[in-house]
Amino acid sequence: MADGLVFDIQHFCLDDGPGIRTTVFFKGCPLRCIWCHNAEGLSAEPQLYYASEKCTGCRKCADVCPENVHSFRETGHDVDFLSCVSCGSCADVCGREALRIAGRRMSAREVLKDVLADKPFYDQSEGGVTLSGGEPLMQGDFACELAELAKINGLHVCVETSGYCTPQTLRQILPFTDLFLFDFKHHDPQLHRRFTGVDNRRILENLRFLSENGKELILRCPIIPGCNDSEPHYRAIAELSEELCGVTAVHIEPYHPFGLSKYRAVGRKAAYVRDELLDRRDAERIRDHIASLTAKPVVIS
Amino acid sequence: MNYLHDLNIFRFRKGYVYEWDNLPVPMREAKVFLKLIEAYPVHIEPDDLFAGWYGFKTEEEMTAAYPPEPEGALEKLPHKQEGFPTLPDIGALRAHGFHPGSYDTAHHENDYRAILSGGMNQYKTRISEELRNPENSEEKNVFLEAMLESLKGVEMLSYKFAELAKTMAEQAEDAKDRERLLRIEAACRKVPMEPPEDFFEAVQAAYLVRILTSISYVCCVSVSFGNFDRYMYPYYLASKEKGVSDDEILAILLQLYRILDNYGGNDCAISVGGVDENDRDATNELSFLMIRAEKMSKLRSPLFTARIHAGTPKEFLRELVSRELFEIGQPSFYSEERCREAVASRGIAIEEARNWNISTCMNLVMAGQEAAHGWGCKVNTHLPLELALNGGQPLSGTFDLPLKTPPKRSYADIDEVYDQYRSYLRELLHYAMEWQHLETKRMAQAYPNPFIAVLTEDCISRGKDRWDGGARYHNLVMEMMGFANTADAFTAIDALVFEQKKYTPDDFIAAAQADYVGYEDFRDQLLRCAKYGMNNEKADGSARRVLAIASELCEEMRAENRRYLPSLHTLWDDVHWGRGIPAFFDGRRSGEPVNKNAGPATLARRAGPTALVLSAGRLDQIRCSGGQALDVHIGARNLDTDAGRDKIGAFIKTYFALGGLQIQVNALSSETLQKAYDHPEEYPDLLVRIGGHSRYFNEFDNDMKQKFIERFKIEEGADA
Ligand code: SF4
Ligand code: SF4
Repeated sequence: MADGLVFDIQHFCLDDGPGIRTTVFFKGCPLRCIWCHNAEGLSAEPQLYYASEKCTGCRKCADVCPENVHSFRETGHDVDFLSCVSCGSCADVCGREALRIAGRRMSAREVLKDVLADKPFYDQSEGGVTLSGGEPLMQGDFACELAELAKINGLHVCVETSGYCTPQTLRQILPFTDLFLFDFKHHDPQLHRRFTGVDNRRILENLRFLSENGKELILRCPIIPGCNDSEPHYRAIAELSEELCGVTAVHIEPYHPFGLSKYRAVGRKAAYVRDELLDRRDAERIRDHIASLTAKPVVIS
Repeated sequence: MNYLHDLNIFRFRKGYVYEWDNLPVPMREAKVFLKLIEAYPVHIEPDDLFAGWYGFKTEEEMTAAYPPEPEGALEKLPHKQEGFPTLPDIGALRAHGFHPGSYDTAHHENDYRAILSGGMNQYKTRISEELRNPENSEEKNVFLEAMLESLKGVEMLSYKFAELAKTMAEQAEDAKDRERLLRIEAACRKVPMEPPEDFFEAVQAAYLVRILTSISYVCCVSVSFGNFDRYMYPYYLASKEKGVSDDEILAILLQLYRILDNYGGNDCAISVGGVDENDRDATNELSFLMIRAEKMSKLRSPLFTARIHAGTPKEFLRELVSRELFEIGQPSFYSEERCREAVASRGIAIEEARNWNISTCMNLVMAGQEAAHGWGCKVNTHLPLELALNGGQPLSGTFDLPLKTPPKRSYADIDEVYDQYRSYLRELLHYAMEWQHLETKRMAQAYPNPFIAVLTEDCISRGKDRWDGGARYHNLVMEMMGFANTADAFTAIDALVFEQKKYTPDDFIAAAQADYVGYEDFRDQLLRCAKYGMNNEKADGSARRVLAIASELCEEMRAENRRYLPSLHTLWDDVHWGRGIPAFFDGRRSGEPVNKNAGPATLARRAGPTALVLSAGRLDQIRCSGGQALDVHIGARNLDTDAGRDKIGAFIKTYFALGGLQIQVNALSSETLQKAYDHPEEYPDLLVRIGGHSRYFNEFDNDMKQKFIERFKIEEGADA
C-alpha cells in the first residue's frame, strides 16, 4: 500500500491506447535518454517547476522562500533550483501559477478516484487508464496496486514502459495489464548505453518475456536524428516486430523540440538540443520504409 | 449570383402599407404579402435543377423598378400612430444588460411533412370549412379571410417561376436544357398547392414554401429546413423507383445547399439522423447523401445538424465526425433523447415531443405548431446577485424601477443569499416578461402574419395570429447570460465568506466596484476558487442551483399558451454583451467576455474536455429547454483515422448520456492556434498533440508555441 509519486494525471488522452483514456504520469526514471521530452519525469523526488512566461515579477515567492531560491535582477527572476527543498511555500503564494511543485505523493486509491471520474467515457469508447511516466515500473508496487484496482473496476489498463525493470515487477503487473506500449530506443547495446545510460539486454529480455506470455504489445520507437535514424535500426525494429507475435503495431515517434522548455522549468540542462523537428515527410518515408520490412502496421504517433 | 433580397422587403413594405388603409388590418397585411411577391423578380440560373432565386441584381435595378417610399412613410406606420398601446418604461433593465427582446417576426418552423403530404390546398380547404362555422366572431372571420387571401400568394409565386421557365425553355437551344426547364415549369404549376410525387418536386415545393415564409416575415432570416432526411425520404424512394440515380439526387442537394447559403443567413438549420415513430434508427440513404453533399459544398450554411441517439450506427457517426466538416464548424450534434425530454418538459406528451425539430442554431421547436420567439430575452444573471449583496442596488449606477424585495446586507449562510437572489430575479423577470408580452401582443395586432398563421396549428381554428394566442404553443427563449460567472461568484462567496470567513460581502462589492484595481490579491484568491467546468462537484453544484432557480421562475411565470424557456445560448454575444457589463464577483473585470453557451467562464482553469462534459452534464439541461451548445476544441489529427473518429463519436455520445442537449466539436486549425497564441486567455483548454501526448497549448512558452504553429502549418499543407 505504498504511496506513489505522480506528476500529472491527464484526461482525454486519445493516443495512449484504445478508446478515451486517462494517463497517469509516474515521476522518476532509471534511464537518461538524452532526447527525453519529459524533464519533470526524470527525478524521483518532488521538485520545483517554474513557468517563466507566467511570472509577473511580483516577488511574493522571494518573500516566503526559506532558502532564498528566488532573486530578482535586471535580467529578471532568477531561480536557484539547487537550493530548493521543495517545501511548496512559494507555489502557494504565486497568484499567477508560475510556480508549482511537480510530483505529488498519492495513494493508488486517490489516483484511481481521479481516473474513475471519466468512467462514462471509458464505457462508451472502450477506453481506460494508461500508466506512463517517467517510468511507471520504477514504482513497481504502486503501479501494480493501481493496475489491479483499475482492473477490479473494469478498466482497460495500458502500461507505457521503457522496459527497464526487474522481471519480478513485470510478472507482478502482467495479469492486470491489457496492453504494453513498449519503447524500443536502440538495437545496439553500446549505443543504447550511450544514449540512455543503460544497457538494452534486460529490456529486450523483458520484451520477449511479455510476448511469450501472450501479451499484446505496441513497439514505440522514437526517431532521433543523429542517434537512431539509421538503416540498421529500422531493420531491427522491423525484425523485432516480425519475430514477436505479441507485437500488434509499431509506432514511430519523430523527434520534436517541444520538451525543451520543460528543462528550463525544472532547472536542468538539456543534453540534446536540436531546434528543428523531424520533418513530417521524412517521418513518413521512415514509416513507409519500416512498413515495407514488416507485416505489422506501422504508424506515426 | 448574389441577389438583393432582404433589406428590400422592408423598403417595399413601408411603401405599400397605406394602399389599403381602408381594409381590416389582417387583410391589409395579406395584401402587402401579395404585393411583395408580385414585386420580386425571380430567376432561374443555368444548370438550376429547381427554381428558387429571387431578388434584384443591383441596387440600381431595384431603385429603377420601384420608386422610393412615399414621403413620411415611416411616420405613418401603424405603430407610430396615436392610440397605439404604449409600453412600460424598462430603461432600468436595459441599462443593466437585461434585454426583454423585441417583436420576433421570424423563427417559424414549417412542418414540411404535413405541407408536402397534403399540399397547400389542404389549408385552403380547412380555412374555407372553418369560415362556415356559424359560431365564429366577426373578428375571427376577418382573420380567416385574410389567411385565404394570403394563400393566393402561393400560386402567384410558383406560376411566376413556371412562366419564367416556360419562356426560357422556348429560347433554349439545347434539347437537354429545354427538358430541364420544362420539368421545372411543370413542377411549379403543380407544387406546392398539390402534393409532390418525387424528390425533385418535393424539394421544389418545400423551397417555394420557404421563400413564401421569408417574404411573409419581411426579413429573410431564421427559416430552418427541419428533419430533411426523414420527411423527404418517401419522395427519395419514389424517385429511386422511377430510376433516378443518387448522383442526380446529389446534384439537387448541392443546389439546395448553395441556395440556402445565399438566402439562409447563418441560421437555417437542416438535420439528419434521429429515430422514427417506432424509436428505430431513422438514418437512411438520403442522410448519407446529405453528408456527402455537405462535404462537397463546404458551406457554412445551412447549419448542418445531426440528431444522435443511443443506437446511432457507428458508420453514420464516423461520416459526421469528419475533419472536413469540423474545420468549417459543422455539424452541430443534438441528442435525440435529451432534446425530446426537454421539449416534453414544457408540458407536451412525450409521444408528441418526439416530433421536435431544430430551428436555427439551438431552438428546439414543434414544427408547425409553435410561435417560437427565438430572439428571446437576455437575462443578466449576475444583476440579482449584485442587488442581493448590495442592499438592492447594482454595482454601478442605479436601478430605477421599484423593487419589492426588502433589501438585506448581512447573511448567515449562502442559502440566504440564494433566497434573496431568487426574489430579485423573480421581480426582474416579471418586469421583462410583462413588457415582452405587451410588445408582442400589440405588434401582432398591428402587423399580423396571416400566411404564417395558415402554417401554424390552431391558428385556423382560433382565427388568430400565431403571436396573438393563435399558435398551439408560444415559447420565448430566455438567454441566461453569464450563468457560469454567476455560479462561480456564488462558489467564491460561499468559500471565502461563509466557509473560510476571510472576507465579507462588502469586500466583494468594494473590489468589484474598483474593477479589482488595487484588489489583485483578492482577485487571485477568487481565481483560485473552484469553477464550473472543472468537474468540481461544489462549483458545478452552484451552476446547477443558479439554473434551477431560473428554471423554476420561468415555469412559475407561464400563462395561457406562453412558456418561458431558459437557455444558456450566447452565440458570440458572450463577447459583445460582456463589453457593456461591469465587473462580476467571480473576478471577471468590466468589459470582459462572459462564459460562452454552456461552457465555463473564461477565467476558469480548464481541466480538459472530459471534465467540461462531466460538469455540463450535471446541469439540469432538460429543464433548460431553450437550448444550448457546449463548445469543445480537439486536435484535427484525431480525425484522421477510424479509431480516432470513433473516439470522438464516443465522446459526443457520453455527453448526451450524461444529459447534454447539444455539442459542437471544433477541429484545430493553424488559424485557431494563432488566435490562441495572440489571446491565450481565451483558449485555456486548447489541447494539442505532440509526441503521442496531448498537452495544453498554453503550457508552452511563446517560442515553442511559434514553432508548433509553424510545424502545424507545414503539416496542414502536407495533409491537404
Ligand atoms: S510569486 Fe509567481 S508571479 Fe510573483 S514573482 Fe514569484 S513566480 Fe513570479
Ligand atoms: S519550494 Fe520552498 S524552498 Fe523551493 S523555492 Fe519554493 S519556497 Fe523556496
